[in-house]
Amino acid sequence: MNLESRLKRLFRFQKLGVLATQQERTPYTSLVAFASSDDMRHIVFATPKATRKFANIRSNANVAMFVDNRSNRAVDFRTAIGVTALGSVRQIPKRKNSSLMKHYCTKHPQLASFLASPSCAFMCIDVRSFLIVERFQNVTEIHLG
Amino acid sequence: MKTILRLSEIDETAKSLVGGKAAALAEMAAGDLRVPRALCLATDFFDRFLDMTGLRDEIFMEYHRKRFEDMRWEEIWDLSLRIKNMFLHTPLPSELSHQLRPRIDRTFRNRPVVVRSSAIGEDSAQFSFAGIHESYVNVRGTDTILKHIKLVWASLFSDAAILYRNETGLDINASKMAVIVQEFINGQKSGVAFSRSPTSEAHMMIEAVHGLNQGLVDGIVEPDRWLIGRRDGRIWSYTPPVTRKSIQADSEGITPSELSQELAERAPLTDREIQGIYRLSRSVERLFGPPQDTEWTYAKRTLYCLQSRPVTTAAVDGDSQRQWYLSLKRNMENLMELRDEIEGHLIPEMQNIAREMEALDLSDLTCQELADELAKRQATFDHWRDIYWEKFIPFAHGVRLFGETYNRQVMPEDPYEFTQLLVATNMQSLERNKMLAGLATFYTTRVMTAAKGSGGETEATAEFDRMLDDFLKTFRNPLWGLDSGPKHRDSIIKLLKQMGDRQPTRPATAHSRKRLERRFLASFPEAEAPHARKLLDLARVSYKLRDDDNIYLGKIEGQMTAALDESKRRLGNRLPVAYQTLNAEEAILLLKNPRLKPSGTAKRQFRGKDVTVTPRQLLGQPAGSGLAAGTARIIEKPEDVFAFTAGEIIVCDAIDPNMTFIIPIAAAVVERRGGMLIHGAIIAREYGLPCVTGVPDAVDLIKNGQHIVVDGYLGIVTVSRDESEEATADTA
Repeated sequence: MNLESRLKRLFRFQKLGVLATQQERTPYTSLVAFASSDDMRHIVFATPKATRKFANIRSNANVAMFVDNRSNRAVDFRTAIGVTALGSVRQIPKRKNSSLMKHYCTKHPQLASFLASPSCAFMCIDVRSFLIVERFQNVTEIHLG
Repeated sequence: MKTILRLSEIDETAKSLVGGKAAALAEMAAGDLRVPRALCLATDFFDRFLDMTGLRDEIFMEYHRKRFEDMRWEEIWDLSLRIKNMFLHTPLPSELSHQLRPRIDRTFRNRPVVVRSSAIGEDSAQFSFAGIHESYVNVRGTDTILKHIKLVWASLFSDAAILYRNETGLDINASKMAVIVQEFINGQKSGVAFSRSPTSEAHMMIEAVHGLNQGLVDGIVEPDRWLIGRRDGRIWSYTPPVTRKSIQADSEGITPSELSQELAERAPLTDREIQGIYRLSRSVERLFGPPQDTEWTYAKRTLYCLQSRPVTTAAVDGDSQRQWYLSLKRNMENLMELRDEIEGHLIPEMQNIAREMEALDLSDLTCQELADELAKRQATFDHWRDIYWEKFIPFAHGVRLFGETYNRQVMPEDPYEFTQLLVATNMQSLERNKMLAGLATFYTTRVMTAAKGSGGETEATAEFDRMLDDFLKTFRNPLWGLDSGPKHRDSIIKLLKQMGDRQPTRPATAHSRKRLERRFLASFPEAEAPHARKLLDLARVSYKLRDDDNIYLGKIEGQMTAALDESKRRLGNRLPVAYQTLNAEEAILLLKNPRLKPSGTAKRQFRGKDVTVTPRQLLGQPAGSGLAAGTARIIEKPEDVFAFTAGEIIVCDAIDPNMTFIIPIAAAVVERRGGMLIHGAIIAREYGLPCVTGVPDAVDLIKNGQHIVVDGYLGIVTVSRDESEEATADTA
């Protein structure tokens, strides 16, 4: 399986990722349910607007999201893959027939009512690049033009 | 349940934990067949050793360092060597040691033993691991036995075992190894009995040799062979060997031994003994059901059954696969024969052929003659490339044999320490590099100084030209640009200026080599020292040839390339696009058919236009220790060599021995091809340069001019976005 396929497979199967935001040089991380577009250029997640991460995003749209498949066993050192997606995030409208909304709701059907809440924002990371770590120390970057 | 069992303690429940070989021995002992006294370490003992020491996780990390499909067989051998070293350096935890030591002491006292593998599924009707895992014969003393138990466990990860499991779909991670420690029976005649002949259902077959049967099992001693009626025990045919040889017990281990003239002329078995083995073989088959392959030995007049397994029903295919993997292991005798053939016949013949081709002036030939000459040279090169695979590569196993012996005897922390004993054996490439260094010094100190006005410019230039001609005569190889044409002369002078500006690092000192040599030889009993010296000598020749053979083959390839270049020159403007990629077959066609048009070749795109994949950290194998930062220089074709600037880092698919002359002025080496014994690694270690090998897609992913950091300790290449990152690259 090539790198691109491994990456897509990881993003299709993993439900949660760690979102890193910042506010005046103070970093902050949160666990979020995410989905990605078929071409991997967009990652969407939902967040209540009253959260620290939402406030951070409003102040600085540059974010990172870390997605991995570790199992907390020794085999992780060789078999786990960890991916950092770098990009900027924006709030997008909740259109039921948009493909990003469909992706999110198909992957997380239990979160449909959460997403539908007026206090919840639907966010989209426009990915600039991926940093992929495999087999403990093998690191590759993919830059999206 | 017990994890250390006598044969009489192996019941139905224990059978699944002791492997097929031990279970069969237990059954034969219970069936009143004479088998040597034995202790069996069940797989639980192996599991506890791995878990208590943390070795299981270490092995797993090492095993998955690189994707299996990306590994070459040399890398698999390296992997196996590193894992074996882990076993040797991991002491038996005291809890296990307290259980095992008294049992060994009580059972065997100070008598010699055989330490045999008994892996789960090893001797089944579906798979035959015969010869794949290790057994050690004539081992004495509890400490030595414990060491050999670990070596047998480690053989679960031998290269042949890894490859065979992969091929047959067995999961290496689930593989388990039980071990049999068995009293050593010093038999005077030994062999194998097939209760049903592999070639005839109505017969059984007995193979016998004088002495021990290890030579027969390993295929280095040809046996006497009898075909016997299965029903009546009548001898149907007898085939003596061409020559009789023997393997005998030494003070420790076993050794090939000359037979007395009387024994060399006499079949090992009498008719009465043949009948004894016939009855044994029939009894073993009655006990187990399916036809059996039984190893036996006669000690004085007593017949012992050493082990028995079903005759493998896995078709010939399975067995031929196993045979191929077994062929990766070469014994000393076989390597000595190869050495004689290579040094005595093959190399002189290669040199003669290259000289003959060189003497022919290609410009005198017509197009038709040139096409024929090119076809002939291509065929000659193909022929010698085949010989290279058949003879030269197997001979490289001399280094492996030595490496494995060195690690077993000396148990060094660094599993590649043995290579220090092999370097500086006057390799052709080192000689060439030395001559080039002399030329560089002369050019920069004499010719350039004279040109600046110190006088004697004409004399210095003439002397330099003479030296350069000598050099080219010795190492002429148009393939890598070392030709005498004016263009190449300029390129060589540019290179010499680079070399003159920078003194290369010198390799390991003779002093440390001597120290290691003494340490290695002292690890053997005095009687075995000559054998150890012979092995070291063989390994040195093997190591040297690993580099030189490519130079000899390179000379033939160079002559093929010269004919191809002449063809390209003749074809001239008929080759607008595909000039560089034209191969010999196309050139021959075009030379013979003046009206034929060549077709262009398209370069494969790696990815879409707007997506770029760039490496950040690439994981390979540490092959030369050290840390270096510098500019990457991708070497893909001969011209790239001459664009090289001192202090750059060589990044290439595989270091060709014909281009190693730039290594002394390089800062480090990165190579796609993996393995510790490949040319790049050999030469980089020789010059003390950081080297990382086995980096998949290195040439595609790293770009010319990029700043990279080569970590030769960990086997990591970090690609910096800018130079400021280099300082922190090792902590990324």
